[in-house]
Amino acid sequence: MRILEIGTQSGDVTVMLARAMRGGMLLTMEADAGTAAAARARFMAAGLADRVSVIIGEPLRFLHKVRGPFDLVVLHAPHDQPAIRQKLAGLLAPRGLLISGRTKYSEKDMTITEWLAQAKADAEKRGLPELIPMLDGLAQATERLRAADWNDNPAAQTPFDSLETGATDDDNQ
Amino acid sequence: MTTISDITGRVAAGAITSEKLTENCLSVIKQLNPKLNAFITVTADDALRQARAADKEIAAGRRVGPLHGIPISLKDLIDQQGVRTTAGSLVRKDYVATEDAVVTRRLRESGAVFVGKTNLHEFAFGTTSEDSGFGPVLNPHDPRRSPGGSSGGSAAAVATGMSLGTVGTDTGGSIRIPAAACGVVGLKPEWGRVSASGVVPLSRQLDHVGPLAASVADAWLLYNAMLPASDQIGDALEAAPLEGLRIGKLTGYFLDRLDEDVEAGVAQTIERLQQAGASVTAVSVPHAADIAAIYLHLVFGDAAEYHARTLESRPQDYTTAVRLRLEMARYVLAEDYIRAVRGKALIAREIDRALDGIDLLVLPALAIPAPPLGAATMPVKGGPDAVRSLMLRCTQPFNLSGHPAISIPCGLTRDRMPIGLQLVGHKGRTPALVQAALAVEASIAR
Repeated sequence: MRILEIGTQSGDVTVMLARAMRGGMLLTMEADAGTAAAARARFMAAGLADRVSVIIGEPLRFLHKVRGPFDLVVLHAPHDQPAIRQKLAGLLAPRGLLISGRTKYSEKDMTITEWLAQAKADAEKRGLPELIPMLDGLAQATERLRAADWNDNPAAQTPFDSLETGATDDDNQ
Repeated sequence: MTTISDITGRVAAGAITSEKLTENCLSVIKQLNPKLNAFITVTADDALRQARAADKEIAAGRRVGPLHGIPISLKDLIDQQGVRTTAGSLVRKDYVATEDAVVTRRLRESGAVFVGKTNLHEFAFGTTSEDSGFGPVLNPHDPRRSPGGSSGGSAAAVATGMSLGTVGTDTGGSIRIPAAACGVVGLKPEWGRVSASGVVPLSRQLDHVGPLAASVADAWLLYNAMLPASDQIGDALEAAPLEGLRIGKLTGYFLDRLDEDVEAGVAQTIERLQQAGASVTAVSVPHAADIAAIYLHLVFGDAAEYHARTLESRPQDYTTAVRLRLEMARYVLAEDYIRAVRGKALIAREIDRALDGIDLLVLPALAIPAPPLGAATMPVKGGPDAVRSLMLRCTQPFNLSGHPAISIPCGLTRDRMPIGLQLVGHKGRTPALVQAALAVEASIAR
C-alpha cells in the first residue's frame, strides 16, 4: 500500500496512518522546513522511520516530481485547492481514494472537543453560523465512531489492508 | 396498478399498442404532475416517437423482449442522451447529457420507452424529496405527506401509473424508503451489479442503481434488463416455496424505534409466513448501533469531495437545507473517515454472519409511515426521534454491507398509509431473494 499525505503539520495523522499500515510506504509533504524536521524526529522516535518519508516542499511546485500511483491520498487544509486536487487526481491508483479535511490539526492529538471548537469557529468565520448547532450532531456521531470497540478489531479492515495481505474478498467473509 | 408483467403479453399480441400505453402515462402525468410534482422533465414527443417505432418493430415480428414498448421513467440523477440531468438541483439546471448512462442504454436496448425524468431530493442527499431545486414531491396517498426519498418522484410515478416502472438509486435507502412510503416495490441490487456509470454520485462506495415497480415480477424484469448481457438470467422467475424457507428476523436495534402500526404490520406478515411453513429465527448484528455513525462519515466524506468546488462557486444554487448539510460534511476529519471505512467492513461481515444458515433476513423497510411534509421528528416506540435517522435506520445497514435487499408493500397503517417489508438476501444470490419475495408478495395478497 502507498499513501501520500499533503501537509504533514504536527504529524498526528501521519502517525495514525503509518501505524495502521502493514507494509508499504507513506510519503508526507510539508512546506515548512522546521515543521518537517520536527515531524521527522517524531517519526524516528515512534519507530516509523522505515515506512514514512518526509519531504519538504510546496505541493503546487513539487507535486509533479512525485511518482504515483498512490492507493490513498490524504489532503489537509490549507492545501485543499482545485489546482492541487487536479495534480493529485493524476497520482491516484485506479481504485485509489483521495480524502480531504478542512480543519487544521493541533500540535497534540486533537480531541473531539477541540475539533468541534475549531470547526465552529471556522463556520462562524465563513459566514455559516447555521452550521454551529448542526456540528454538535456530527460531533456526537464522531464520538460514537471513536469510542467503538471494533477500532482495533482485525475484522474491521480497509480495502487497503487486504492489498497488503493479498487477501481476497472471499477470505474476508 | 397496471403491471408490466400483465400487460406485456397484450402488447406482444397487438391487443394494445405502445403508443396507447404511452399516451395513457402521459395523460396521467398531465393530470397529476401539477399536484404531485413527480417529474422534472417530461419528454412527451420523444416518448411517443419511441412508442410508435416500438409498435412498428413489434408488428414486424421484431419484439426484443417484455420491456419492448413499455413506458418507464428515470430518476433525474441518471443520464439520458439529449435530456438534462438536473439531480434535482439548480446547480445542474443547464446540464444536458451527451450520452446515455449504462443503465439507460441497456433499458433502451431492451425496448423500453422513456417518458421523463423524475424529481428527487436534491443530489439524492435526503430522505423526503422535499428539498429539490424544482419543488417538493408529494405523496400520492396523502399530499400532505412526503413520498419518501431520495427517489420520491420515481415512487410517486409508479404508484400512480405515470410510468409503469422506473429506475432509482439507493445510497442509504433511496429506492426502498420511497417504495415503502408510496406502496410500491423497490429493489436495491447487490452493490456493483448494476453499473453506476452516467449516474451523478452521492457516495460511490454506497451508491446502488435499481428498479422501483408495481410488483416483484416487474422489479425483476427491469433489474434483469439493467445487467450486462452476460449476467442476465431471464425475464421471469418462479416463486420459491414458503414451506421450509429459513427466515432470520432481525431484532434489537432494527425493532426498537418503530411506529406502532409498522411494527404490527410487519409482525403480522412474519406470522403469516410462519403459518405457511417458513421457519423464523431471531438474529442480530452485534454492532448495529454504530451503523448510523459509520454511514454518516462515509457519505459526508464522499459528498464533500464531490461538491467542494460548486459549494464555493455556486452556493446560491443549492437548496439551503442541502447546502448546509454539505458544508457540515466538509468538517469530517480524514482519521474519522478511515475509522468509518473500517466499520463498514465489520458491518458487512456481521451481516454475512447473520445470514449464516438462513435464506433471508426480514425487517421493516421504513420504521415510520410517510412523514408529514416539514416534520422534523416522528413519534415512535420510546419517544419521538429525528425523521432522517428514523427513515434511514432499517435500510442503510445494507448500503454499508452491499447485500441485495427488496422492499415490498405489506398492508396499511390506521391512517391508510403503506407499510414496507424488507427482505435481505445473500450476496451473489439476488435471484433467490427475488424468488422468495415473489412468494412473500403472494402470501401478503392472499
